[in-house]
Amino acid sequence: MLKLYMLVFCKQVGMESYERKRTYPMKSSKVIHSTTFTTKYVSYLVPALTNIGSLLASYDVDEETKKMVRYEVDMALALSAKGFAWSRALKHKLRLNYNDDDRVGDGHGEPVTKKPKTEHEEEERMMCLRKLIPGGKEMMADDEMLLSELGSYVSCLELQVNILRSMLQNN
Amino acid sequence: MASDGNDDLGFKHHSLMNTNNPLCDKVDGMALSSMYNTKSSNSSDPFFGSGWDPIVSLNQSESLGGGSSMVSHSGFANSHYPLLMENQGICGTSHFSQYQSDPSFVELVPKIQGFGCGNLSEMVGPMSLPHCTQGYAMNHEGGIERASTNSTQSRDDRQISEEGVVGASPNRKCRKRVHEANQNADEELKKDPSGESCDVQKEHDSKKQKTEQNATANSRGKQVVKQAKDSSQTGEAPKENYIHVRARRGQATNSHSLAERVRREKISERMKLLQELVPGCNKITGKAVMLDEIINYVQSLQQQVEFLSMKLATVNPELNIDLERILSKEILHSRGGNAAVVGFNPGINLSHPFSSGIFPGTISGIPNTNPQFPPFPPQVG
Repeated sequence: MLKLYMLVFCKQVGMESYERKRTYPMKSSKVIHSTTFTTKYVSYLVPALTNIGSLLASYDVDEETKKMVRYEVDMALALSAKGFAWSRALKHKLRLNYNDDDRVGDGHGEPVTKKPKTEHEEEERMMCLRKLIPGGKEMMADDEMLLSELGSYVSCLELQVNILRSMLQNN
Repeated sequence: MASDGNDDLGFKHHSLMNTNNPLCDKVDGMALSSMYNTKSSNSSDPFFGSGWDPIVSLNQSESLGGGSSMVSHSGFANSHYPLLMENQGICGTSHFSQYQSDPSFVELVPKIQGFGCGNLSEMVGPMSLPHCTQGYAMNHEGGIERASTNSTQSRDDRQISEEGVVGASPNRKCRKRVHEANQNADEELKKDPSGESCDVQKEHDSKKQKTEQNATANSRGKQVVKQAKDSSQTGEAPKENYIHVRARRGQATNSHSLAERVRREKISERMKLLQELVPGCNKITGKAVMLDEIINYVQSLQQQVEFLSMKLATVNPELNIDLERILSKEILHSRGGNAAVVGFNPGINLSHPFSSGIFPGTISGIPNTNPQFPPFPPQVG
């Protein structure tokens, strides 16, 4: 009974307020479970890496291998966190890079070099963030979207690092 | 009888609070007080009590330290219950001592009304409206005209739109005057006239001190709620999925500035969530520095991924991955007790420096070892 009232309450409030356009509902966000992410990530990456390993006749690790591994790492990230703008953009970028030139590179196509910090303009920092996050440039108009995407991106990055680290530790 | 009812009410609230404990702490103290306020002696308690739930459960992030104030509220409710109905504008603990010590409730009523917080009361407005009407009626009869615009003077963007209250209100003769006042205020969307009208009433009631406090509350309310710590001053409605915006006193009221304010509020909310996500950012106030930190963190994470993937490439052939082992490791090491925000919880702690942050809008699904609060209901909106 409590739940019923709760639902009614929510609905009533939501509908009424929203109709009058005095309230601005927050965007409902996606649900991510860390275990789900981890499972997906590992289950994608491990076979992919095994494939790479088997593809290489000789186990000389060259640039190509690294790039392939990097590609798989990024792809695993993109596939494990579906529903975000950055994951879509990442996937897109990966596929583009992979198809166009042989260079797989990083799907992010950026990192490291960005050091903005000429202070005073928050705009600059937002621009920086846009460059950092995959698909950020498409979010030019929407600051809040950028920030929420950033949140999920950071979380997934953390997860990814943990997974990679644990994979390496196991050996 | 009234006291019995009060006691029951207080007790109910206690039990209600206790059951929702992890969430209660995040409920604003003001919200609780308002809840008490608008509760009527009609047997709508379960109704209302449930009405409180979504407020709690829809609360995001803010740990507004409702714990201690809860106790004071309950005591407050017990003693002042009959008159609490009329006070939808109660907020801030600073007034509670007044209430408890002052035997003349009636005189206090207009004072309290003037206080700009009637957030929760507005929030539960649609539901508790029948009771509010009684309160209104009582006020009216008592010669205290209580424009609901008082509540609009409250500080903040997290109120439920008053139109919701107005829209749902049944037509009652007694409330017509107040109702019209509501509508007038709402349509105009102006703070000043309403403020003035309130002030006039206040003067009539010769409670001038409250208006001053009102004005200061309003001006204070204007400040960015980024850290949402103004609850001590003006009280704060618990956050919902909506950001409710009202034109505050002295502010421009055209749609542009309102939308702008909403946008800023949303951005600041996201910034807060990010702050919890990025380690070591709890003490940082200020958007620019925070953004810098985020940039640094993201860059470092990306570098780590780069480095680890290179390492992985070199090690690749000998990989011996055990999925279950990785998962179990993560779960075992996952950090419990995350921040109050409902959100994405990596929950991994393999003796690494990252903190388990939470991203809004997601529910942590880690079972067992994580002593986390139960998943939030799907967000409305």
